[in-house]
Amino acid sequence: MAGQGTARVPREVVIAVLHAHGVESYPSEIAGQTVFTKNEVYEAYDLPELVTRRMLDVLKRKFDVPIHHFFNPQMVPGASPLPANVSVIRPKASQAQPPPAAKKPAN
Amino acid sequence: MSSKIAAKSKRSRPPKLKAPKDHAVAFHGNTAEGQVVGIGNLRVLLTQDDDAWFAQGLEIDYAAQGSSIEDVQHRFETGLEATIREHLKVFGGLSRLLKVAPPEVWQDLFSDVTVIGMRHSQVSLHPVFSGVMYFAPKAA
Repeated sequence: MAGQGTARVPREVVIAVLHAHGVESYPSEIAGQTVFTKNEVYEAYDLPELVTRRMLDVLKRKFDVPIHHFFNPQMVPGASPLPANVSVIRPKASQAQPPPAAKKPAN
Repeated sequence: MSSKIAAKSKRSRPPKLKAPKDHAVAFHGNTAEGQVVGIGNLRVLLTQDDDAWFAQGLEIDYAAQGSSIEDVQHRFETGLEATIREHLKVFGGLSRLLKVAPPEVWQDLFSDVTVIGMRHSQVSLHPVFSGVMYFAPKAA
C-alpha cells in the first residue's frame, strides 16, 4: 500500500487497533509504561505519540495484528477503533523534503 | 612407550568450548530484598526510522521507539525492566522472555547500513510476588 513505508500512526489509533484484536492493556508498576498482553505474550512499552513503521512491525509480530489495520483502522472487522478527530498521518510530498537550512543572521 | 601413549591421549582430548567474553548473559536470583535480574552484553541495534529512533534487542526480542538515541535507550531500558517485572509476576521466571529476535529481524536490520550497534547491560531489583495465597481453617 502506498505511503505505508513512511507513515506514522497516532498512539491512540495503535492502542485502539490492538484492543480490537484482543490485546489487553494496563498500566505497569513502572511509571510511564503500559503492559500489553495477548496469548501469554506480555510486553511493556512507552509508546510515543506517533508510532513509526518499525515499531508497528514489532506490534504486528508480537500480537498477530495485520499491519494494514494500523494504517486503515476502519478495516478492523466488527470494530470502529478510530477515535474521533484522530487520523493516520502521512507526510505530504512537500513535507517529505528536508527543511531548508536556517539562514545565518547578518552581522 | 608410556610417554607416547600419554602424548596420544592428550591429543585426543576434545577441545574446551569457551563462550566468548562478550556473550550476552542473563541471570535471575532471589535475595532477602527481592528478585534480582541482570542482563549483560545484550546486543541492541539502533536505527533511524522516519524522524524517530528505533532500538531492537537481538538476544532478547524486545524493541522500543524514541525521539533521539538517548530517548530510545531510556525507553528500551525502562520498558525491558517493566516487561521483566511482568514476566516475574505472571510466570515466575524469564523463560518466555529470553528468546532471540527472529531471523528476518536480524536480516532486515543488518542489511540497513545506517544501523548502529550497542551493548546493553542492566540489573534490576523486583519485589517478590506472592502469587496465590491459600487460607485454610484452623483445626479445632
